[in-house]
Formats: sequence, structure tokens, C-alpha cells
Amino acid sequence: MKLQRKKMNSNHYLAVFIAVCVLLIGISVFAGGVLTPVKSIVTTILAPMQRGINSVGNSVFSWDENMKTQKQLKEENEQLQERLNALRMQNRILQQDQVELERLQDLLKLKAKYKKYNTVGARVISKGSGNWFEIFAIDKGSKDGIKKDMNVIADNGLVGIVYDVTAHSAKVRTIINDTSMVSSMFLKTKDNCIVRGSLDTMADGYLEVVYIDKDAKVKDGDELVTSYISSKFNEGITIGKVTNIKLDSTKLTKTARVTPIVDFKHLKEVLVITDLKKTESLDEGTKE
Amino acid sequence: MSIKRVIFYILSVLVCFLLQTAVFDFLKLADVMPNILLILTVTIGFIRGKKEGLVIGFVCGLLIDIFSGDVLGQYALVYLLFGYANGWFHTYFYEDDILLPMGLLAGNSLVYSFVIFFFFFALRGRLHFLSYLWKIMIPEAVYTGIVALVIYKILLAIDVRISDGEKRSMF
Repeated sequence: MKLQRKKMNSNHYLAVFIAVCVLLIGISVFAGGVLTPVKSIVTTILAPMQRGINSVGNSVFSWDENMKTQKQLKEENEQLQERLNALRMQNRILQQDQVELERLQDLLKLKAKYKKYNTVGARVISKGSGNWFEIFAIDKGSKDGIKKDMNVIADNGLVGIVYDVTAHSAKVRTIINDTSMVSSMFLKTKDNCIVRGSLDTMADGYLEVVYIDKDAKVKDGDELVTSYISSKFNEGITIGKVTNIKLDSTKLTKTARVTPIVDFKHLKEVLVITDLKKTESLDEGTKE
Repeated sequence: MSIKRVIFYILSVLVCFLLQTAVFDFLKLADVMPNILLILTVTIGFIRGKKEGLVIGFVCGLLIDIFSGDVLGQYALVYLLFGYANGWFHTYFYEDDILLPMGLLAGNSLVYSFVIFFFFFALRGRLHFLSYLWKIMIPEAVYTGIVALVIYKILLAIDVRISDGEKRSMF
């Protein structure tokens, strides 16, 4: 037995393992579903560990928050109270507006355009390795009703989309991921455009907005939300504020920059919208 | 290979993976994370030789694949090649030397970044090479080199202890 083992030198090992890798790549490209059970077993084993190390890590690395003095806390509390009062006032006005809106909509026989979405809260348990791709995992999975293509929000803004689900965890691809394209529109004028995820631009704190109609009457500071024609994103989720609108070099479209309202550096809790967007599939080939 | 060694490998891969994917800002500096799994692969390849570097690399890569990729095996392939390639330098391995492993680790991080950039970005038409170079590749390489020093020392110390145990049990 030992003699046989010695005959296996490193080159044989290399060949065997490369073969295994190529086989795995082949299987996952041509029959991706076969490997899902394997994936979910490993994730199920690792997810509790990730949860554990996060709770330990968070308590150790957030010690500076505990060090805040009483005085600071009091000041902050006062400020927040003031804000709360102001917001309460605002809220009351908005509620009145809402009543009026409903009455008018009834009159016009229009259904509420922006319905409230059902959400489930989830905790971020791990993020992608390395600095290249912005993906993360959450601690809710198919057992909690999470499905593929559900939208994920935080701070009232769009975070990303669920792209892979196991029993007790799910993976989310953020809109700042390099492969992400989000069909979006301007809240005021309903002009459609695409928000393109990019690491390159996100380092400077913005994402590129492309394919805005050249005649669109949009201006800096307009709010960008997900589009009604998007196939996977629910309508009307805020993405961010637009700046720097320019005519493209081709003179056919405009491009702009959008600053996401979500703080992608400090995501710890997110909300998953459990309503899947219902669309008629017109073109099987397009992907978002 | 003793049972101790196997346990050591399994534990180190697990710990490195968990630290790498942890949400809290463990070891984060100037918005870059050192690539701990790569450090582990390279270190094992360097101090133990091709075979073991290759196997560790494969396992590390496979974990990343399972966790983040749609296609299983792509990172496994990259990492196992890294583990294998660093086995070439095993001949120059001396326990006291610190400059070669440090340079090796930083260099590996840079090469790794080039590989990732070429296959996952350049082929999709994202060609802002210089900006990626300045914002991600070079900071990551420098930082990996520094962190690697600590991790390398720890791994080496454990490895030496296990090796001593193995030698003693042979007689």
C-alpha cells in the first residue's frame, strides 16, 4: 500500500485534481441542478459557524460604541427626540394626504399604484471572499419562505436580489456587483434607464446610469426608482439620487451618476420583499 | 500523514474561510481585505510542497465556489494551481527565512488579482485596468504581504510542532 502511494507523485495529483475541477465545471455548466444538494449541505454546515463568528466578532469590534459617554448619548437622544417630533408632524400631514389621495383615487377608479410590499427581516451572515464581487449571504432560506429573485432592501433603498437559496440561508447579489444591471426609471418623469453595477465607479461612491432618453426632462437631484418594466425588481423601490447628467458621446442617449441611498459598507440587517414580481415573459433571452 | 496534521489542515481551512467571509470588519484596512485563503494555500504549498499545497488549494477554492459562484470548480482550479505552483519554491524553504515567503505571498496576491481580472472582468469588457490596479490589486497585494507575515509565522510554528511529533513517532 505504501509503495503504491509513493508512486503517485505530485504530477499525478495535479492531473487528477484538474480533472475533477474540469468535471465539476462541466457538470455545473450543463446540469447545474445536480450539484445543488451538495451546495446546500455544505452551506447548512457552515452557516451556523458563520453566524457564531459574526456575533462574536461584532461584539468585539463594536466595543467603541459601548464607549460612548453618557453625555454624548444624552445629546444624541435630544437630537433624535427633536427629529422624532418633526417627523411625527410630517407624518400626520402625510396621513391626511393619504386619505385625500385614496378618496381621489376612488373617484378616478384607480387602484393604489404603490402597494405595500410584504417583507421579512434577515441578518447578513457572511459576504463574498475577496474585494472583487459584492455578494453576501443572509440567515433566512427556503424554510422561511425565501425564493429566488426576491428583492432585498435596506434603509428603504434597493440592495439587490436573491440569486441562490438553500434551506436556511440565501445568497444576495447587490446592485453594485459588477455583473448587475437594474432596469430603473426616474420617479418624476417615468423615463426608463439602466443602472449598471461597477466596482470601479463604486469606489468613488456612485454607479453609472445609462440609456436615458436624450429628450428626457431630467435634472440633477431627481430620484431614481426601480422601473415598472423590470422583469425581476418590484416597481418603485428607491435606488438613489441622480447627479451629473450628460449627453452621451454618441448623442443618442444620456448618461448620469446615481448615488445609492443604501450604505453598502455597513449592511448588517436587510429586508427581503416576499412578493415576487409577476411578469409576462416576452423574451426568454433577456436577463437582468 | 498523521491524524493531527489532518485535523490541523481542516481547522485552518475552516478558520480562514470563516474569517475571510465574516461580516465584521476583521482586518479591513483602506477598504481592502487581505486574501486569507490564498495566504493559507500559498503557505502550505511553500512549507509542505506541491501535493499538500494542491489539495489545500483545491479545498479552499471549492469552498469559495460553493459559497459564491454559480459554477463549481472555477476557483478550485485557480487555487489548486496556486498551491501547486508554490510547491516549486519548497526547495528554497528555510524555517528562519522571512523575506522570500513575504515576497512570495505578496507576489501571489498580485498574480491572483491579474488572473481574476483577466477572466472575470476583461473578458466581459470591463477594461479599466489601471483603476482596478490602483484601487484593488496593489493595496490588496501590499496588505496581504503584511498580514501574511503573521499568518505564515503561526502556521509555520504549528507545522513545525506537528512535524516534530511525527518524527518522534517514527522511531
